[in-house]
Amino acid sequence: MTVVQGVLLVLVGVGGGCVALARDPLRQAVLTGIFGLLLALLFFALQAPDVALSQLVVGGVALPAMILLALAEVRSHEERDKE
Amino acid sequence: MSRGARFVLFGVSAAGLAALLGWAFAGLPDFGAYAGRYGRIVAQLAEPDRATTNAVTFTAFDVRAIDTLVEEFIVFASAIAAVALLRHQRDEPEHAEDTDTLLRPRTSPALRLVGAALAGPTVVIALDLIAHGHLTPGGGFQGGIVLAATAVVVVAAGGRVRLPPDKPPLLGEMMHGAGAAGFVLLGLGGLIFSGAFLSTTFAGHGTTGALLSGGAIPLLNVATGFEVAGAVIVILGEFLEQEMLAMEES
Repeated sequence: MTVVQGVLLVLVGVGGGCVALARDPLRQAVLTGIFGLLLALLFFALQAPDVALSQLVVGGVALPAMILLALAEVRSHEERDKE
Repeated sequence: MSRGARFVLFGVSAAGLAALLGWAFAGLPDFGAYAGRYGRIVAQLAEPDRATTNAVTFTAFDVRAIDTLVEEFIVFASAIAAVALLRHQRDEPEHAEDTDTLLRPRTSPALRLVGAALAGPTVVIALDLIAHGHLTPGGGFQGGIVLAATAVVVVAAGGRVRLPPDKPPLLGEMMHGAGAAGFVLLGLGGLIFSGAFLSTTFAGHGTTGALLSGGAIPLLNVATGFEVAGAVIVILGEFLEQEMLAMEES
């Protein structure tokens, strides 16, 4: 195992912990994106570029985007209810 | 059970779990060690047999093409299921006076500029990933999701996915159907021209490293790319449409 892989493993562990410990959903969505990018880097360092590409798109773009879109819709609903 | 007793129970269980996990991890093979034979054989066959330099794509679209076919149909079926569940709720005719408010942009100019600037390069990256799937990392699944991510970028930057109730999201559904059908037709091509379903050799090998090489593998990648991109666009479109219906009703 190289230094890069070790550092990335630790970073992925820290990132996953941050996602689990975040309480605010918006913050959690952004952290999920960062965690997804870290995982993609780890897969790349482990010589699995195909998996890294999938992870980059699904974990770094699609999943946070869907969470953010859902949060935006929930908030606009709440604002309407207040009016 | 009291708080103290629960902590004791948790402590004992956690210590036991940690010990078992440590024991299990100590017995794992070394990092990067590979004892199987199948992977080595496949990696050795990829270039001389099919002129593909990406052994992963060679495995997915040639050696185990039937698995990939089933995976593609899972994506296909889930998109159909999303449409079947959500679309019947969209039967109210659209109000004409809504058009003005719908066309009014709801995001800042800066966000729309960034979205417009990102959309084009994302499409190019997606097509590059799909076209070079047999040579470099990438392929139909990855490229297809990147292609669908373009739609996400456009919607997030303030574009509207708005369809009349009687018209389905035609582009996404055509891509998604054509991709699934294309994969099966290419498989039938293998059956007709080289005697086995999903055999990729009938299209000729070409020169290793050329864009048109690797038999039918690049064609299967294109079919998968269309299928995945179309399916994701259809699913996202249905969900967004659903949200907008809910907003109009409230």
